Amino acid sequence: MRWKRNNHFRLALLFFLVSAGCATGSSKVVFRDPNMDFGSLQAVAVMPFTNLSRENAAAERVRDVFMTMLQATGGVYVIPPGEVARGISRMSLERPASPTAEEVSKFAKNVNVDAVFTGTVTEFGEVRSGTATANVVSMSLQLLEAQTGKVVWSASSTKGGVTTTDRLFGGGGEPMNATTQKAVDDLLEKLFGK
Amino acid sequence: MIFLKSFSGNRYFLFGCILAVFLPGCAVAPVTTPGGQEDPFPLKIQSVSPDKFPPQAAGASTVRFKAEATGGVGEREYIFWSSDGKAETAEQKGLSPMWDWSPRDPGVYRLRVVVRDAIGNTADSGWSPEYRIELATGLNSLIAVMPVENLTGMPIPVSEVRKSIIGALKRKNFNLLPEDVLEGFLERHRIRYTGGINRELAKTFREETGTNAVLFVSLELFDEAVFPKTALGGRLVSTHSNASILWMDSVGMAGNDAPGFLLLGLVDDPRVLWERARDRLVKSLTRYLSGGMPEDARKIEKKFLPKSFIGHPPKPPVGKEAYSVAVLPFRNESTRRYAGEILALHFIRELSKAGKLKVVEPGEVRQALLKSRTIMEGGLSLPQADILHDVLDVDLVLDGVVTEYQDANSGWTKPKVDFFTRVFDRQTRQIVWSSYSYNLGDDGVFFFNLGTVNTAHGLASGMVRSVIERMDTVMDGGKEQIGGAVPPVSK
Repeated sequence: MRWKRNNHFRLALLFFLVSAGCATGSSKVVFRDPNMDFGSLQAVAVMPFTNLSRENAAAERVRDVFMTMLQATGGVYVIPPGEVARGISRMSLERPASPTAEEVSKFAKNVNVDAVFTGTVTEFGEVRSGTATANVVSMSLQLLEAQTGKVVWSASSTKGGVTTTDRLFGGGGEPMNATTQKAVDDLLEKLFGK
Repeated sequence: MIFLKSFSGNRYFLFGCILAVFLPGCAVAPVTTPGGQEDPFPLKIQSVSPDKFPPQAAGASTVRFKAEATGGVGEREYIFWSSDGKAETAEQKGLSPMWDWSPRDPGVYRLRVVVRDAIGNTADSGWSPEYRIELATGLNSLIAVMPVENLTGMPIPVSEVRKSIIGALKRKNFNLLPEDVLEGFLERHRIRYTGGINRELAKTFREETGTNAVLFVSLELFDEAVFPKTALGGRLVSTHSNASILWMDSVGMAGNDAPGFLLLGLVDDPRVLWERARDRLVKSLTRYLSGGMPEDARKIEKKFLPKSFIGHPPKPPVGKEAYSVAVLPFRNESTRRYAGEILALHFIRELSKAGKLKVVEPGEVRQALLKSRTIMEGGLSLPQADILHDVLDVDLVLDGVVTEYQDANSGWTKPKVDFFTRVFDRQTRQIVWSSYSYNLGDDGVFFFNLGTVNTAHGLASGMVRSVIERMDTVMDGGKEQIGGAVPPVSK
């Protein structure tokens, strides 16, 4: 009888450990400058993102989603991407995805914004685990303040991937757009500290 | 027995008494006017409605306005007023609440009804929103059918497609511009772009050939695989000096749209499907030219709402009631050729149908982009938007990016559409609308493929209609700011 009870306990413990190992929760790694007054930001620019994924258009897509969703929060005004392109062209920025502090200050003055977002898409596409496949998006963002060009906020997010349900029942996970939206939503939550 | 009998007789008397006591209690006390007459309810105009939506054709359409009034004392007298912006005219005075209006001149009109009761109480409906009357287009108008614009991204015998459409129009007794006259005009003016028309060219068309309107047909999809799919659109543009869009519609169909009982509704033959789509489009045009109501029973579906959006009401235009908007071709980041042009046409169609904004003819927009040498690398910048606002004299410019526009290419894949939309306001020089939409053909489908959308055209139509509906809420100025994010669709 005692052996039976112990066996149940061991099984439950094993199940708990295995389940916890399958979790795909996002990390809570966020940097926030304590001296920065985020409430003073009125207009921001989103620079083209760096693309480290295998998908050619990944950076553009994620950037467009981020710009629209950031604007939809109503917290800040996001200048049109055409204005960003014009600013980059006027300043002849060689690497607009990773500008220097001086370049950020000049650029922000040029296009009349209070801060500049830069970002990197590290993963965008399908991942495979055994026979199961799913979409995954992994990205990181930095917010650079216009006056000094310093990083005042930084965060990353990963969404999607093969879950236990996918492994057991298949299904292929969520569409890419939904996964991207979740990743951007996660970053916005980290930004606005909801 | 005697008791029962007398009770039965008393019962009727008792019911009678109860009725007599209760009924007067329900009566509404009449209001006595100073003149001594009774005025049960104040005189009110409940509605004034036309039986045909604007725009209508000058000298060809008759629009019946019906006023519904309640209350007042005695007979009501109705006075119908019209205004063309210069003068106000009392058009009809009498006891009839209906007025048949047959405007002869094109223009922008407003209408008003004043109702007077027997003792002199009056009610005024106030001026109605603008009612546009276009230059004559009716079933007898001379129409030029332009060569078909092929947006399929594949080689298609478009001349055959055009012949098929012309044949269907002729069967409906349309008055079409002869082929040799049209070809002569196109050659004389070296017209190579046949997807739209600008103001000067429209005017020349009218002066040289006597054409009242030009019909543009665009073929979006023609897939002969099992099950076949087809999508086409049409746009009728007036040759009046402002080249306004009179009618626009499109049809998208797949052979497996309505399988029906025992799959008897499946269509395997692409020709049959094409003929159905073509006839539906021709029917819609005939209905418009006959002065009928637009037939569009499709509702806004929740699943098509933009996933993320924000809108601020733009500043009202000076001296105009309705905003005017120019729709630019969307930046195409998808693998589908012409997806940018197709999505722009979807927006133009839905905006024209909604009728709240005045939409500029895409041929006019193209001309402005060419003249100003605008190359929108990375999107529309503010100076470029300023130029377009000035050249086209519009209040708003709509542009966007399309990242997916994919039709199902086998039985296993589903159509996919994904796009971003932005609207620039002339006065504030800011983006007043921004949205992100994406959908799959099987979104919201759980049982037996019920509700599946089989073409990207169908998907895009629903999504664009939802965006316009949300945008209209903002433009109406009902809310200071509207925005939100819809959680991703879970499967």
